[in-house]
Amino acid sequence: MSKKKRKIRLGRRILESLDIPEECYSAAAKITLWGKETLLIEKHKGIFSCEEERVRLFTNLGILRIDGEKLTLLELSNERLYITGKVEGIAYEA
Amino acid sequence: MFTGLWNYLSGYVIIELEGKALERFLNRLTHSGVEIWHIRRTGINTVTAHISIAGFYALRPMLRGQGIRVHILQKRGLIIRLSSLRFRKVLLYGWTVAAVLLIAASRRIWFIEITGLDTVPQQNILSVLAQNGIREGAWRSAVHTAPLGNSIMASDPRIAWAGAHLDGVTLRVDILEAGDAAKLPDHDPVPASIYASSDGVVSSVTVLEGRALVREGDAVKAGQELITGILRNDEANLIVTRAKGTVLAQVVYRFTASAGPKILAPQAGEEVERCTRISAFGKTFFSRPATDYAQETALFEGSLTNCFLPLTVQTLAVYPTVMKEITASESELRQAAMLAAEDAMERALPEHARILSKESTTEYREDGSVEAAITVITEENIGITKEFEATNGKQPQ
Repeated sequence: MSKKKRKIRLGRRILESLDIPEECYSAAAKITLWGKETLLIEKHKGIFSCEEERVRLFTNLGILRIDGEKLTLLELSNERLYITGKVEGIAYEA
Repeated sequence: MFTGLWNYLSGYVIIELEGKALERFLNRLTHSGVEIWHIRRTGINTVTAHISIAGFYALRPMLRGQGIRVHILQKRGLIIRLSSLRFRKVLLYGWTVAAVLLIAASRRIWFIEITGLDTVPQQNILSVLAQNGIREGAWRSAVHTAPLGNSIMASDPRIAWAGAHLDGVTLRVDILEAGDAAKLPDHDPVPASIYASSDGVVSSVTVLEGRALVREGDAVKAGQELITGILRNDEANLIVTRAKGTVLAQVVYRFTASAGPKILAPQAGEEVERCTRISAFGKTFFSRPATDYAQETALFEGSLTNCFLPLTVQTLAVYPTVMKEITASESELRQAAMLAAEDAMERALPEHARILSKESTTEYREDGSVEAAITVITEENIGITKEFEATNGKQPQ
């Protein structure tokens, strides 16, 4: 195990022992779904593709795929993305 | 929460991006800090989006070498609407002048409403307001409501309370008028006593001034002194007052009236008048004779009831009513006599009398007439005030 990875793991353990929420230090995307029609994705890394039935986003853990109907990117910024429309599924692509 | 409102105020444009790798271009835009929202794929190579005006100007240099074209579909927002008026200077001046006039006008009083006036003339209040420098067109700041209410109250003794308040450009003045003041008792009254106006049995005596001479249950005769105004009458002093009080007594009245053997009753006369009666659509149009009539006879009748116009025409001979002496039946005589007795009773009874009991009888006489009698027992104030002839205690006879 490299020195860098060891440092990261140590830092994570310290933060976990302090009961700090993971979303504060994790680089993984945070996905919030309200009902069926509003989806908020934080800490995304950009749009990979945007269609009415499918939106694919770059994230720290790979490509996040959102399936649905009439999907619209209501708000787009560096780290936040609001999607409205009929959301039918969310999945990470292998 | 206010993003939509802010976007409307600051203005935005709806654009269509056309080209390949549009997602990559959108990522570049967001990394550059350009605000872009409401992104929707409309075709294989097209995307529509909303972008701020500043973002649109920042977008154009980034398009170079990307193979992407941008089209403005729509411009929206207040700024964009107003910018279309930038060459219509007169209109802008007009709006500005209108706004200034509106603001200036809203600082003045244009209406004065006065409520609650009954006896005090409205002109009086308006003149008080004018004395305080308040009239239609005066500045609102000139109105000091509390002193204004006080000055209105001081202007007229009939005003018990007055208040003023501003309601926009309307000055509302509320007035509360004083009621009738109770009359003060006479300090130098003429001495008097209270006497019975009719025979009766006293049921209650209430003395406000003077001295009662009768008690409850006493039978009194008309003219008898009930409450005397002489409080003390000896050789040393004579103290008199004006007697005041109420003496309620039960009074018996009897009213009689007779009728018959013949009575006057409306009858058909011998003179004949002609008139026409037309009936159509359930309504009757009648050429009435000059006087009331008791009897009618149809001389002609024609009707069109089978056609669409239901019309009936009648020519009538009518006999005007005249009062004639007739021989009435016993029941009619009893009714007439009773009516006459009731009429006499209504005329004779005092207005304030309260009827306790009422009995009525009728008697049929040998000569064919009927006599009706009504006996009424009332409770009423029988006291009447009579002043002394002189202050030496001599009373009226």
